[in-house]
Amino acid sequence: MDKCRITDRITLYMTHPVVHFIVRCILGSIFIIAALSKVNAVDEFTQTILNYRILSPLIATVVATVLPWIELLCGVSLLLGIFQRSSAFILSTLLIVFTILIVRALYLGLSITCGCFSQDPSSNTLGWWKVLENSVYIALAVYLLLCPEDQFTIFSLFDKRNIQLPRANDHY
Amino acid sequence: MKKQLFIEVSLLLGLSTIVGFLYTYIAQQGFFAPKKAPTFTVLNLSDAKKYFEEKSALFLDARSEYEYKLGHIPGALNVPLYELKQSSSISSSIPHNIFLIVYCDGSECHSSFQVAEYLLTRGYTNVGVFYGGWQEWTNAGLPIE
Repeated sequence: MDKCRITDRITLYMTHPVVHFIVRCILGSIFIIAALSKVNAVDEFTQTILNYRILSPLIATVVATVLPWIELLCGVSLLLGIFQRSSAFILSTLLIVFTILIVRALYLGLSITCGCFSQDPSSNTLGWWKVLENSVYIALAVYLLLCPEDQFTIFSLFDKRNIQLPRANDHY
Repeated sequence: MKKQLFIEVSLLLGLSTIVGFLYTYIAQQGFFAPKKAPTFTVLNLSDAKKYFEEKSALFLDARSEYEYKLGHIPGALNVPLYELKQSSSISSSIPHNIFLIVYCDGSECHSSFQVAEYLLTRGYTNVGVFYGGWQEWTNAGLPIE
């Protein structure tokens, strides 16, 4: 009985819009920072992708051209609160793919840099800590995907109606 | 619900693709980066020795025929700049699919650089100059013929 109450309470807090808003802002900011390191370094990012030894130079250049903008648009969408679920869907898919690639690189013993937040070839090489870090991001993205969207969007700033915050005891 | 998700995902991916290519076009990056003029690399003795031992490069001797006959790096072709410009048979004997290392007497001579620059103008892209040249090679006691 008590166990059920605790679980219910955790679920209530987890699905609280403020928690959803904070997670959304954290994940959005992370992807905006990650994208900004790549947007102006397409050639360096192409080389980073080639270091994973999966894609041809042509496809790697296409990925290096488009991927930073996917990250940036999804990050901005999350921050502004528009397309929340679709952004979370794209980011969780990307994160799962990235993590698989990192595990593969570690399995093959490739001594390469992640290219996630910096395109500097002398930055830290990949390690299992990166898999752990990505797992946390995946958990955040999946949380945003599964939980209902919150209403603190850019549009709500211009909405004259007051937003009623649900209390912790209310059902979402 | 699924349809809306599909539409939103398509919109985000489509917009990212358009903006990505448009930005790289404006910023002249990636596919739209201006093609760089090919340049040659300058090699030191250890680099030249490595390529010689691996047999992964063709050595080109830019000195005169007389100096070449007195001694040269094993396997090297004699390509003095003047004769290279005059005779098409010399340039046709130089393959395109291997790294070319040009050398001359040593640090005082410039013919190796001139030959390398000429080769680049003739469409060779994989060219290096062994700066220390013949003097450094013989001083190190490396093989000659």
